[in-house]
Amino acid sequence: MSDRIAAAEDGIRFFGRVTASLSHEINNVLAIIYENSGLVEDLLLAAEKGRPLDSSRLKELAGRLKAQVRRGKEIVENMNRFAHSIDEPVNSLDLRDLLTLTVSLARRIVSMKEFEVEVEKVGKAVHVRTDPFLLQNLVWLCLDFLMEAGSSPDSIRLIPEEAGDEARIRFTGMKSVPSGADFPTQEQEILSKAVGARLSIIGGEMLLSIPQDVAVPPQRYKDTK
Amino acid sequence: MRVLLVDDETEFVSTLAERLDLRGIEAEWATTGADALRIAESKEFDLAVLDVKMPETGGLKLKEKLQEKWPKMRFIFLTGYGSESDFHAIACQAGEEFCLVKPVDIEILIERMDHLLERGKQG
Repeated sequence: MSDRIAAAEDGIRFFGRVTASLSHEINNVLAIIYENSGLVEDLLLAAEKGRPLDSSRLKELAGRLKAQVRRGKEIVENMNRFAHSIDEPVNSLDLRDLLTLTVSLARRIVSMKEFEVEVEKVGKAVHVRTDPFLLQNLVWLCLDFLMEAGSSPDSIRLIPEEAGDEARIRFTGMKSVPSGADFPTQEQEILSKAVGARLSIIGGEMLLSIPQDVAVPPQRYKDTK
Repeated sequence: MRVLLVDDETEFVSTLAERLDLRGIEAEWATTGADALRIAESKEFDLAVLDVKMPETGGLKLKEKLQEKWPKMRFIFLTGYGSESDFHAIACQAGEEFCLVKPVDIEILIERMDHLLERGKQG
């Protein structure tokens, strides 16, 4: 299989997994809204039959409904940002923002695997000019690899930083980092090549080094040989 | 009727329990398989409503564990999956009539519960 087809398949698979997970999350939000509004109806019906209506309870339920709408809105916003990450083959971005978005998108999948993933919040912005979609896909492959090879429950901390004339993402904080012969995977290699990145495992951390400015715009899903 | 509800969405499962309670159905809830097994350790339930997809112990696996302890317990599965093929894949394992897609109408859920328990009495 050519690199082009492999990268395209992997991109589609990534897109599919993310949208399936987000649609599941949205469905959960809708189910909670449905139950809460059903409970409001139940309480009103009971009041019509003479049961005292507790206004503070109704206020609490209204607050819960609003909170779920906010949760749904956040999921939809992330979904929208993710969908638009494919618009431009190269874009300037803050690595911390990209990681935060990727982790939000993966939240449910990560939780199902009994992992916790968080992005280091403090530290200066790390700007890179790269293909946002391919880099998100690559970060996702790295997380997936660590979760598959590691043992749950565990947590992974993502630290974006500058390293000389490169940017770097450290995948750290795991109880044990695999160092198997399967690393990097073929998919990781193909995407790394496409965005000019390098992957390594050093001192119990996975490192993803990225050029701060991708020299040649990546040829999405074209042969990178 | 005594029902055990298990779903990793706390607000969903606690609200559903309250709504069943308002209809005279005794419902207890848990957000993990481990908690559900702890609750079921000391108390017998007629029926369990289980989310298919949960961290650690999914609904299908949890069913097996609960059934070891309480062979007469009946089960209804809830799934958030909207895709028809996913639904049928789960339904094949669970028995189609026991699988409902979220959000679920509470009256339909109760109807299914009654049906299952009625069939249990006959069988």
